[in-house]
Amino acid sequence: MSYAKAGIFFFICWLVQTTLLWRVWPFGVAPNLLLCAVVCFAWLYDENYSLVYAAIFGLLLDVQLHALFGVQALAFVLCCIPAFLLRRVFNPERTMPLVLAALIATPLNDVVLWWIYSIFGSPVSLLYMLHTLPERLIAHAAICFALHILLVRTIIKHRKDRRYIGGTA
Amino acid sequence: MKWITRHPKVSAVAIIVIILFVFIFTSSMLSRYDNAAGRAAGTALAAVQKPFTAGLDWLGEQLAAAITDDALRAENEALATEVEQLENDLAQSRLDEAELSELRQLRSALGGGRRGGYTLKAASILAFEGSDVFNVFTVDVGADDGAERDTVVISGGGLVGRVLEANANSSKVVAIIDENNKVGFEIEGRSTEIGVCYGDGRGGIAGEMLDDQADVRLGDRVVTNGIGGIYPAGIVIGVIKTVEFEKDSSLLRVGIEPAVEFRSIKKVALLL
Repeated sequence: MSYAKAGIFFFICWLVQTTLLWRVWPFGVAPNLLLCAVVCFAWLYDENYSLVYAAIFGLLLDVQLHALFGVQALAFVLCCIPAFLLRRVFNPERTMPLVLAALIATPLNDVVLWWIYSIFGSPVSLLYMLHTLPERLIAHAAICFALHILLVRTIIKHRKDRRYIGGTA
Repeated sequence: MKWITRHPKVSAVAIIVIILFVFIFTSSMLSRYDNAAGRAAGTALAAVQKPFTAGLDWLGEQLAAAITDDALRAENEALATEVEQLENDLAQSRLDEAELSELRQLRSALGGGRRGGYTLKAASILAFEGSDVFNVFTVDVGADDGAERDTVVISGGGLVGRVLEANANSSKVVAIIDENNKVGFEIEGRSTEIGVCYGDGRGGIAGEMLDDQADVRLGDRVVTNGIGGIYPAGIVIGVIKTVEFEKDSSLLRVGIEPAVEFRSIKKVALLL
């Protein structure tokens, strides 16, 4: 996958999340589609798609939906780290480590936002932020699972094989 | 330098985190809610979202039309128009009534008066996070339509919030359930019982009465009192759900159930 294709994918996720998802999501609090995309790309690809687009689309969310510029972008970037760490142990063709990364990233996103807002004078109750955590964990796990099925065919297989000579599957 | 080239991923994360911290620090210190770059970006984003939102609205209408009987739909539309008109009249009458009240005179005497004769401009929500934690959203009415910073936003239920930042074609609105959004209020019908309320960080509103002996009862309706110059008097904020005297600070604290259901809000009106 190229940066342009990844950018289009993130753009669609941003558009759907900000305009559509909160209107039609039937199970209470709408999931964070961009967070799922960031974690998925961090898990699947060697390139820095996830970092670059986490920062860019996080800033777009900050422009419209946050009182401080950069908070959501920072939270997205830090949410890539669990997926990066899990990649050292597991192969990206596997789904369950990605789901685990999503389960870690969901509360991590909340905690980072809470922490930054607390530092800069907008105290939000962390307990209140986490009160919808179970339903969001389920939704994010399901979305990451679906995104993995969608995107796994685009990754380079066996890239750590010493006989690997390049190309995509 | 060698370490950076040897650890490109860690270096990339660190560099991006440092840059974002600079952004956050700058936005909090300098122009927290209003800056040219933010307005330009907001205008561009709204321009992208507007056709998509319009398409969704159209699709919703078509779906509703497909599953609803024509006569029923016509009656529904007529009723909806009538309800909207009545809500507008009600909001206007509250404002007119408040303008005649003593608090209005007091506010004018204090130099915080605002012009009367507001016009209501209906707006759709363009962008929303969908959570009930961060209470900022974007509507499709902007500076071109007359919106400006601190323009008051209401819905049929009551007070929604105020405009933080008006771009050309959209406005960023902060809801009254945000902790930093303080609103002066009074108990409806007892204009001497006044206080200040703000978001409690849990999706509700907390408030403090100015007088610790104030006559406040559960179920009392709370309306804006107009003091402060941003919110005109008489807009419904919510209903008192808890009353508690705090001995340590000698403050009479109240909990207020917001009149507006923020999680399901889709249309609002701006007081221009």
